[in-house]
Amino acid sequence: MKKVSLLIVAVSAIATVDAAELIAKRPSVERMAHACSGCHGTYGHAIAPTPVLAGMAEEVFVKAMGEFKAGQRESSIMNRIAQAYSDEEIVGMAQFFKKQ
Amino acid sequence: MSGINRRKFLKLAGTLGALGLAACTTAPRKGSKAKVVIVGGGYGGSTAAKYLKLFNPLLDVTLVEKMKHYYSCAGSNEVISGWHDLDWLLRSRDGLQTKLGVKLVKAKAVEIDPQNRLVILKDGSELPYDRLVLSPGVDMRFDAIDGYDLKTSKFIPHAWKAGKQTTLLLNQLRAMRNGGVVIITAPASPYRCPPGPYERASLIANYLKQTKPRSKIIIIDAKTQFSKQELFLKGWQDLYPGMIEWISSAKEGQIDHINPTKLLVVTEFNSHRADVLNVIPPQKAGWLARKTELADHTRWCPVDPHSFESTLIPNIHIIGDACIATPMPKSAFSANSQAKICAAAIVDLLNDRQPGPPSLINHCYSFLAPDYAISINGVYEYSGTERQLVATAGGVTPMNADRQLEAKFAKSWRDNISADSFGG
Repeated sequence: MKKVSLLIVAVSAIATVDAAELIAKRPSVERMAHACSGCHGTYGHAIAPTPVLAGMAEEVFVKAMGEFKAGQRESSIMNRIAQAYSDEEIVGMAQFFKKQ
Repeated sequence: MSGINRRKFLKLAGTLGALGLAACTTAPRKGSKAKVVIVGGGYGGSTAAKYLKLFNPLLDVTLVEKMKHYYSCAGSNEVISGWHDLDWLLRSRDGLQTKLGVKLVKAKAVEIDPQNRLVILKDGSELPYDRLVLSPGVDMRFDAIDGYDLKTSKFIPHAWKAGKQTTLLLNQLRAMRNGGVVIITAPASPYRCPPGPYERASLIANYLKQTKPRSKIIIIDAKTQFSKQELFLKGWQDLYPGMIEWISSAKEGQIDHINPTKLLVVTEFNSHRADVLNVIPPQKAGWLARKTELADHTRWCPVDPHSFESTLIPNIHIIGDACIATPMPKSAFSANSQAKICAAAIVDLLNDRQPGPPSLINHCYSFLAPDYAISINGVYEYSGTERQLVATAGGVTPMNADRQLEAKFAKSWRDNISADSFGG
């Protein structure tokens, strides 16, 4: 019984470390934002009709992504993608694109 | 790869690196003095060259590719359907040189010497590298289907690489009689462009419906399900009723052999005669990667998703269709996204920084008609517990979504991915 509980302690210790590692090691905002350019152009300079993200006002980006994520604004594409990012990450990407 | 595996790998990489250094004439160059060579100028290699220069304009970046221009495989089904000429698929990399300072070398790389960190070209010249990126794409496995080899592919197209093969299939469809049967054989996963065979069936149907409406398309599949299946089946029912038949391997088993003279596909339980036969064989990592022993028993190249560095040979990164980036599909979009993570990681590594966690996207459109498209996408991150990439979001076009709007963005995607990958 003792062995079993030790094992459980050991396993959960590993799990805790891994979870902490995962939370601490989020991808950088730059790495996230560059993935967008496959559709939205290099540094967000898209060719129309795909929306241009470069220079977009921070609040416009944050509002749009928040609404896509919550399903309040309908898009056959962005509803699926926006789910991946936390609110803080969305703000980070907004600041990245605003500067381009 | 993290924890013990990652440490083990780094230790191994360090040992190999030290061995390499001992035999090397030059010590590795760091920071902006480093030389990065890229072999393969498709979506992956071109994007890697571009973003290396964007991230550090002082880097010495050389892109080696034997073909002057690249015929994009993405979009080639639209050429087969007759919507565009073959030249519409051409992508020029000139801007990478004129605007960003990438050195473009038109040559065939025939060998890699990982010990001395050299790429050897066909004329015998050597290109030294500190970091090498390989984006070699796929080779067809001409030993996989009895009756279908390289010679046979000259008259029974695979059309799974754009160019002559695209034209061959297009011309055969043009010459086919009304009421003819087109057979497409689809391979087991993984292969380049998972929804590709089904988009092809749709667009061939689009052409035949207008010109030879009594014709039929049969897909003989090595799989029991396929990408965006429900959306394709709905689209076929709405647009091309009765024209496309999909045969799962659950029904007929695998292909036993192909009779190339009679254009016969013989499965375990049946046989089908084609007027036009399109065999999409199983595939493997491009030749140079396999020759350098960067591929494992699966015939694809294992990599660390933080950097896309090979887990088998240090200082060599593999991106695009040739690498194992499960669960990302083998697609132009994946290659483009992987190239950016790889470029950022190389800049980190050359400055003695450990590359941070990756974030990637794939988004693949399929056309069913000029104003009707569907898509599948995914956002990917590294999972320390899974020790590989995982999808954190994504999915397929909702069943009730506007297909015309998807088609509009599918067209726009082509412009944007091309500019992002090949434009300076």
